[in-house]
Amino acid sequence: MSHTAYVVFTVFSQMAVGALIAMVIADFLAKKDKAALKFFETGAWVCVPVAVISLIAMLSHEARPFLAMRSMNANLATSWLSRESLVLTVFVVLAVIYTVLWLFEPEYGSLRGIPLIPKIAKPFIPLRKAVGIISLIVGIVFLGVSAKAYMIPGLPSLNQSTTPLFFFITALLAGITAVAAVLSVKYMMKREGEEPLARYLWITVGIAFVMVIVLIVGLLVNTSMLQIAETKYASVAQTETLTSMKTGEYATQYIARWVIGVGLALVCLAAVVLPLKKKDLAKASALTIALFAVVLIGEILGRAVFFGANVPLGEVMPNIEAFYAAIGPIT
Amino acid sequence: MTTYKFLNVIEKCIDCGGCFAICKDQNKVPEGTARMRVVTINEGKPGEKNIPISCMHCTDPPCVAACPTKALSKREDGIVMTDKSKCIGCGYCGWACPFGAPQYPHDLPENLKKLGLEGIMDKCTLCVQPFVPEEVDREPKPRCALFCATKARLGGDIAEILPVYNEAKVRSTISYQEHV
Repeated sequence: MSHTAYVVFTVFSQMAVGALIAMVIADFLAKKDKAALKFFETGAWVCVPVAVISLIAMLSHEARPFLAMRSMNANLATSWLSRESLVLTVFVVLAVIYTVLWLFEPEYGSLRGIPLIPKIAKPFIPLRKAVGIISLIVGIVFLGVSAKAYMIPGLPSLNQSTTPLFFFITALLAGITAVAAVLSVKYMMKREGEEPLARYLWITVGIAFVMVIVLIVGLLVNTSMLQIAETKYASVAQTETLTSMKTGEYATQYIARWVIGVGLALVCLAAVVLPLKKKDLAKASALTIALFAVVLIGEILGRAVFFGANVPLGEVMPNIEAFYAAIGPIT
Repeated sequence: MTTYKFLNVIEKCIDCGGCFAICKDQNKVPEGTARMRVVTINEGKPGEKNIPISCMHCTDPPCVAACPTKALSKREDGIVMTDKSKCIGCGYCGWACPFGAPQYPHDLPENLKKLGLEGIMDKCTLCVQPFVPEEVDREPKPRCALFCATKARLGGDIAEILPVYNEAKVRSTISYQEHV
């Protein structure tokens, strides 16, 4: 199976959750300030297209993508993949509703000019915050369920507590900086919304900084946990994963992940803070866009290593020499 | 109640490939994919051993639990079967299986592609179903075990093969099964 599909699916679906969280933050930040809401509204364009990209990636790796709907309810009793499919679908439906309540808002929605829909949406606009919170909760549940789908005994390298941690980090890091980048582009083009943008960028910097620190801890914990396994077979699989990451096929990507996703991200964060303090929003906006690019590249690299270096137990048996090399000569 | 299983007396396996060949022939498994293979340990060194590996029809199959479309199921007689009409080729069972048994054949001949079998999971069915599924299940008679020249590969009712396996193990001086 191609790992590219898994990388795109997981990064983009998590980014969609993060983008929705970002819009809920913006919704509460703006309170009833119409000018602020009008400015933030553009960020609502991020979540659904990103989620659609993830769905296309997920379906692209299946032999029968048109039958994938079946996975939503066929084996919810035991299959985490079935549960993931269901929860993701519920999240996307809620995200679409939430996005509609932004984009078709009769006073400031981008699509308020389209006939009929704004009138239908109008009575539900006051419910937008509630819909946002429910969607946020479902999104967070999706992150956990998605992580559990990979935390199976057959995948010992992914069956670690750092897996859900990495998924949450991707959501908050990539999703929130994505919305910040879109709002930054809007500011640079229209030079409006200075005050709400400044407040939003400070929140973005704060969350992103915490997430990068958590990411550093997560990456270090992950490499140390890969050296501990419950069975000899899992030990071989995890050792192969670690070798692949540190000195093997994925070493370059792993190093790049640290340099770009952690190092450059911290540099960009520091760089954003300086003009933000001086209220130079043009510079802060440009650097926020760079921050998002760096974060996204880092997350994609990290996820590529996550899936690419992973050795399923079923591949240990064909590479049984490594297993016996690990346990020593047998007489 | 009959319960079908595979047991391998790996000390006796000489890697003749007979099990692999008969499986391919009797189940019409196309080129590029295999329902079973022989894994060699310490090849060319003292202590070389061979293990015939296929779906082991586990008592508590992780593939059945993992499959999101219930394409996999365990019969009452213990055989783990695939309903290819339900399989979406997601590959999750391959990750769940500790033996790497599920295969997802690609680059199939045109006649098999037209049947929609490209990328659809295939694995050992104890010779109950060939690669192209038939309407009626065959009687479970694993050809790999029937044709094994050294009786290293035992397959059938566990009540019948277990005594044979135990006797073979008692005669053997090296017990690889305990190590794996």
